[in-house]
Amino acid sequence: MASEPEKVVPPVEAPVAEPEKAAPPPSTTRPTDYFAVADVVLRLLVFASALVSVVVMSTSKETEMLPYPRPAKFTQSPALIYFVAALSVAGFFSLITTLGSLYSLIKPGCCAKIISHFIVIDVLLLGIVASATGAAGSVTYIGLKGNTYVGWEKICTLYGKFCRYLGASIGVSLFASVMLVLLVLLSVYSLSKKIPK
Amino acid sequence: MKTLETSNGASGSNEGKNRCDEEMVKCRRYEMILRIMGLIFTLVAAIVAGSNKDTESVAISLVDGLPPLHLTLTAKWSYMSSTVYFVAVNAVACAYVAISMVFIALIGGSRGRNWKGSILVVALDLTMVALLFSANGASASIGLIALNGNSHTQWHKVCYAFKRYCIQGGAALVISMFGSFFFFCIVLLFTYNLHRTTLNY
Repeated sequence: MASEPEKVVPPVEAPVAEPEKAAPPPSTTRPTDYFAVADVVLRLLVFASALVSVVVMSTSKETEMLPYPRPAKFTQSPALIYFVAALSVAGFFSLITTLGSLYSLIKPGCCAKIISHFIVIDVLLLGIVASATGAAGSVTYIGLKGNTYVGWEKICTLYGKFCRYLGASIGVSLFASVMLVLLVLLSVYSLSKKIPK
Repeated sequence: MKTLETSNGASGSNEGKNRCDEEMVKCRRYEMILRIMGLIFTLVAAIVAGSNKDTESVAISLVDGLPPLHLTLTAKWSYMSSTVYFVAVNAVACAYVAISMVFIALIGGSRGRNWKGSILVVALDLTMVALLFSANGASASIGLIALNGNSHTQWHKVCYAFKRYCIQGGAALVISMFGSFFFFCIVLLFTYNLHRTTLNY
């Protein structure tokens, strides 16, 4: 008697099992992880801003015809050289972390520990980018306004294009540092959400 | 999978929680120490840089043949915009650390469980790190120009004449760099705490 329901049940199960196989495999219903997407987007923005800053600063050469042609380029000031170097380093490391978080977005759950290590890299990059922005910004500000007490004259009236390029580059790197702050806050918030109350 | 993790965690949770609480107290003590050190260093840097004033008689030779002209010039911290920025940022960082220590002491009981309540403190800590690093960079670059001059832009060096001013400015910069390192360590300690807490669960 017990075997009869068993014989009845398998044929009932078989046609039920087949439509399941025929239908596409059910996706692991996981809500879109907005934090991971925002993470990748912000890191891409940081990388793009660093790249733009370095390129604009490097191509900011202007030659003025005073009695003899005198060029103004970023290599004449150690602060601007430091700016280019620091932002190149920041761009390189932000590229690495972008690839890391992109990989973690595609294969979720693989590198959960690494994401918290990226916070340390981001804070380091923030320090580097902020110091480079401050250094280049102070030199550019003196070039813009001059300083009568020390006898340093403004150069931006003479080299207009050079100063515009410098200003744009520093503005973009300021944007990059704000993005880095948002990135660290986002990472900290998404890590804190994983803690059950 | 989530239920499996929580059931495993619940079985050893009492011991894990006690260990977590002990480490939380240790972390909070380290954080207080770091904040106090940051407060001291930024306060000293602001004071040293803000009391930077030097009056010297400088010999300026306008024409080669004539004897040099002796002018009494003053170098003050408020004459240069980057030193003003430096003093302002260090003062703001010092005030922020004092206020945040009071704030943490007030909500300290629930901070171990209430991570979301301390996001504001972390955000402001990060802003302070960025501001301090940028002020250090600005002051260092202007100090370098004052030390070496810049021949391309005809900015002459001034530190040969105002030795005490430049040395005091350099000392303030070094102290502020130590202070900003402590601010950076505060953020790192918070990250380590968070990392350890998420791993335990």
